[in-house]
Amino acid sequence: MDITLTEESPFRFRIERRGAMRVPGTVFATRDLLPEAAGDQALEQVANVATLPGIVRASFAMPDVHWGYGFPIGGVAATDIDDAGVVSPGGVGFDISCGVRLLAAGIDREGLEPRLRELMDILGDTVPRGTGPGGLWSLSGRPQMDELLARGARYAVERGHGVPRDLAFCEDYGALEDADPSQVGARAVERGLRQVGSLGSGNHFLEVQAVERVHDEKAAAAFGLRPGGVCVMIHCGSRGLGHQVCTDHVRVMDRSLRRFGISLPDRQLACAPVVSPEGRAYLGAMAAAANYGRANRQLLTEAVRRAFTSAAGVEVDLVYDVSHNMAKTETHEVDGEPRRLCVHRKGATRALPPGHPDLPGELSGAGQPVLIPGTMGTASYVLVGERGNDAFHSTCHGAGRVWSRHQALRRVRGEELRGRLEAGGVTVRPSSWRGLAEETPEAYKDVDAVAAATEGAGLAHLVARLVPLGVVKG
Amino acid sequence: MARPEDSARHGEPRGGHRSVPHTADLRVEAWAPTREECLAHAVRGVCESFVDLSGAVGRRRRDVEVRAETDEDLLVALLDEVVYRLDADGEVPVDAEPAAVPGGMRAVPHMADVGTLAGTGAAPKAVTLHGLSFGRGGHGWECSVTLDV
Repeated sequence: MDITLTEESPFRFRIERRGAMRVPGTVFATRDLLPEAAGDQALEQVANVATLPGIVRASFAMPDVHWGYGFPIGGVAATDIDDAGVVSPGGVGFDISCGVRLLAAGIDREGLEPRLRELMDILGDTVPRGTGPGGLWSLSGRPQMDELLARGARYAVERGHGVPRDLAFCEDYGALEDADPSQVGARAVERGLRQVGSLGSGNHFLEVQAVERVHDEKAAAAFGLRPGGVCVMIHCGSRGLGHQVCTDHVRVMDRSLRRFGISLPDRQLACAPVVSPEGRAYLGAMAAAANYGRANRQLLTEAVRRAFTSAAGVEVDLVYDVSHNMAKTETHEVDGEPRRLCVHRKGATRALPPGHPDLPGELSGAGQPVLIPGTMGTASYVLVGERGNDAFHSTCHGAGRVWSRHQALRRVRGEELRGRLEAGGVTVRPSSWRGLAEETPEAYKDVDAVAAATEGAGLAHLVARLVPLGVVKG
Repeated sequence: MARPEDSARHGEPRGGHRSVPHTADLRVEAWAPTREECLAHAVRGVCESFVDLSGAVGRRRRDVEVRAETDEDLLVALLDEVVYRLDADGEVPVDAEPAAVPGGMRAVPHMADVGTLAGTGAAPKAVTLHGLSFGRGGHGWECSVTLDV
């Protein structure tokens, strides 16, 4: 399909409705950030998503949009639950509740410097990562797994893996209430039993960072961030359990499409009405997997705390925990009427503005922290939600890939990259040389440009720029 | 395109496989004279994307039987098994000689422990339906499948 973009502003482009599209497409980006690689189907995927039954307003793409399967990565789509709107597991992604957690340590960059190598050694040795089983918390069996799936990070904290304050700074207070563990299949549970508290592989990481620049002093202070302060960013999700949940429910919905009279341009967009048994089953399982993802990051937080206590004798507080692969029931005004919507964010982050009722009191005045990991050689950002965001309070989730893994491996060697990063002052603990090379900074868009476009488009505004000091790669 | 592996070596199924670039994920193409040989190459192509299988020794055997209404879904069901065994048990098939059974296929591959093999890339975590194809083509049978890594 040939996609024609109309520039509405320097940060906003429109894909006009045509064919089976029910709404237009809206792409938040600058011209330089638009996908352009040969064969990249990201914009075609934006148009495909616009064909979903019940979709309202537009099929949105964030400034970090890139080619996914079914949905683009960096896509947002909301469907009207009470007007035959569908839920699509592909609109959430395989790694349900993949997300980012930011921690602030009670130490500055200068104070940590003589202890950084020891800290990275401890983190490198104690944070489980890579393929297959292996996590910090091995669950005893299905009954305990069901507890964790029902109560997420809350269960982890109750069992001593954190402090109650952590939950207030976690999206949904650490757990989605409507989780239905009975909709999580045996294979998903088996994959998940021995992976709680593990990074996994691919683009997941745990990074020690420093606040290099504060853009919004008031918001930074509200988030506990100060210039030179040390932070830890954790990027991971629901591991094999989340992938199996998505796999199982995509298969079910793929088989039920004809019954619902739905035809789609891509099988990975498989979906079912939110109110159907298939839709409800998926949303219950998805919430359970999301809770697993929050518990996973909670366990990794505990490992970080132990490492900082041991290496530097300092405490670590949670700044915030966001999920960027989720579908949520939210009420938004559409054409002047409040509507109950199923908001899919695939590689996109919820970004609540100041005063939003879903924010904890401590963050109400400032707004929701938005955590945008960049690359291990450049920077990451903290932003905050803005009023007037018409993409259902959504924003980007990262820098956005531009190179395939093949391309990265052809151009970069892991050993060379590690030397380059270390020469630039970034300590690296890779799990494999190839895995490191695949995640080379050049494989991603310029995160400074993505952050600037996000602010320019009015989706969120900049609070702080963080630079890497040490990386534990999944 | 990358790493084409045409195989006429002794004991290996006829045909070939390769992985092709996708921005964030893994796409594998395979081809062979028969449906079952093509499936075997697809499995081999997926496994070679993340571990070095040369000289790999299987420690145990798994009896795998999958059924599906279409050939495409059969390919997905077989690769679902590979991903599941890798993640749940840390096992990788070092061979696969699928045989047709009514409504599907059966294989009894030798499985190696992933920890004993050299890693060569990010491991797949799920099989997608995006751009999926499997059917008769110029090589007899051809398939293309995208996996989440």
